[in-house]
Amino acid sequence: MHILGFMDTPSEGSIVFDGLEVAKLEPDLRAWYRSNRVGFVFQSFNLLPRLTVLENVALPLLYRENSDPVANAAAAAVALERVGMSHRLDHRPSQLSGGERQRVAIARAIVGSPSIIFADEPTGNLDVKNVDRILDLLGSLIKEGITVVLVTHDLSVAENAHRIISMRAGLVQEDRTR
Amino acid sequence: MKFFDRIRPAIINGLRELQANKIRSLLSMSGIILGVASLVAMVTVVQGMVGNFRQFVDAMGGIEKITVSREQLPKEQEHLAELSEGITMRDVERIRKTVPLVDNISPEARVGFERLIIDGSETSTYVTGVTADYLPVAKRWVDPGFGRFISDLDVLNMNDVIVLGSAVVPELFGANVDPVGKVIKIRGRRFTVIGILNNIEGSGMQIRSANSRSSGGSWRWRNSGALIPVSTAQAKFIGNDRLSGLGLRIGDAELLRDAVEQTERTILAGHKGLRDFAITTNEQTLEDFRKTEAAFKLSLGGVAGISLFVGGIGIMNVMLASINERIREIGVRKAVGARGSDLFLQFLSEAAVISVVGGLIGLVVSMGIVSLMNYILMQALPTGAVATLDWVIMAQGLAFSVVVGLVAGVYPALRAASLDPIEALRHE
Repeated sequence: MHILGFMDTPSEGSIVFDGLEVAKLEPDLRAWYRSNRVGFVFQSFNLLPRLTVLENVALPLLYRENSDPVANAAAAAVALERVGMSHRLDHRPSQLSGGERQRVAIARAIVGSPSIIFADEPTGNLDVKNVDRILDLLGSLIKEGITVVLVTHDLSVAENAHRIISMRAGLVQEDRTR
Repeated sequence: MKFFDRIRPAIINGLRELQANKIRSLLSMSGIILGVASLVAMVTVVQGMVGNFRQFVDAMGGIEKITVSREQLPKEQEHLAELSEGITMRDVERIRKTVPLVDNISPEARVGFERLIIDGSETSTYVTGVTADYLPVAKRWVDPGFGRFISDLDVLNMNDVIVLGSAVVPELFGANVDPVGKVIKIRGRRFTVIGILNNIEGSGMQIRSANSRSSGGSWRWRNSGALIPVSTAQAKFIGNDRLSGLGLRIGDAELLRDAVEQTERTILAGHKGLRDFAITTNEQTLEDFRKTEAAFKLSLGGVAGISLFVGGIGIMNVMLASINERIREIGVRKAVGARGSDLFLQFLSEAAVISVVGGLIGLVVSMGIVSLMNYILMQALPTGAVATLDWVIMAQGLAFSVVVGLVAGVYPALRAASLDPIEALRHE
């Protein structure tokens, strides 16, 4: 997952994104891809505790060139609107429930209009009701044309995907498209 | 502007971190606070001393003054003591003729500590015989409306006239009395007051002089004393033609050494080779003081430098601790697109924020230290005022702390920048 998300380089094999060999990219260029093309959603949310919800969501935009605080905040507010979290802009992550935090994390993933979102066990820390809500949210993103790569141990979550690749001990067991 | 856009969020972040960890930040800042405070306070106080010493030397006649005084004959000439005439008006004439570098010569004949008596009041002060040249040599004057000084005619005629120091007047006449024209008795002789010397007021921090008497502070002795014509002093009090010394003023301080040398040769020739005199200048005093000043600056600078160094270590320490606590944050920031340089800048800015805040607190503390020292000095010297804080020094102190903060922040910031994002995200 980290290799897919431009955070690491593969020890063997290759990953091609937009026709580019990821392994050969300079660290700063990989950072550029993370900031401009990719969104991340983590199992443990990984929101920064001292920043407000709005600031957390605007974080990826901060590291773009020509970053403008006002435009960033506006874009973050739009992203939060889409995940239904507009009423919590000035809260801290610690004041939110798990489901709310994950929705904020998704807002952060989509704020930069990425072409692909990597979700690492995004439902692992959530109760059933929130799992459904998050899956609906991700489903709506897919309808908008964003690719979502989701890693999960939960088969019922996996059943929502268009293509399921089963892995065991690092090896691909099965690759089926529905 | 673009650069500022990049560091602005980092600065806001730094302030937030500061607020979130108040006690820890304050502790880490303590070194910087003390460093800046001691640096600024000490530089201020030393500068105050320097300024005052300059004034002091100036009051002593400045660097262009040469003093010739009586001296015991050296051992190898002791048996010739009877031949010694001492310093006399003849020396004045010789120097005037043969040492053109000397502009003014002020012969001085000390009468002694005398009682000045008027009807119903008396005071004691130093009485010295001088000529009109006393004014330019001592850099003194008589203010308009305060009479006149001793003239050549007074000296020629051995007039019984007297010029008083400004501090003597109220002691003798009380306040609001014009003493010019009044008559004063000294050892039964009647002297007419013809003028008052200008009042010397010290400003800035003052150095207590060995010559200062009573509680009036160091400038008081400059304003006390009384002057009479040198001829009157010799004829009516001293009883011989000897002088206690000469004050010489030269036009160009650069030629001080030449002037001293020529003066020495002239007097020595006139005294038939007898070394019954000594020549001193304020140059030596000034030189001694310069050395003291340099030593002060070096040692105080060292102390301030060490505390700033310790302050830097404190900042580095707290930055490293803070980074350890926020490894996950660093991972998240990297995951969403931060480059190493972004994080470097962020943590460097945080170190800078700590040092700036610490430096500002240090400046406030230094104000406290300086006013405390002023208070203490005021107790010691009632008339003496003090050292004032200079904005330039304060700005330099603050700049110093920022440099220390930035240097101390480089290593922690490099560490944060080079963290592996995956390791950082896994960190619990």
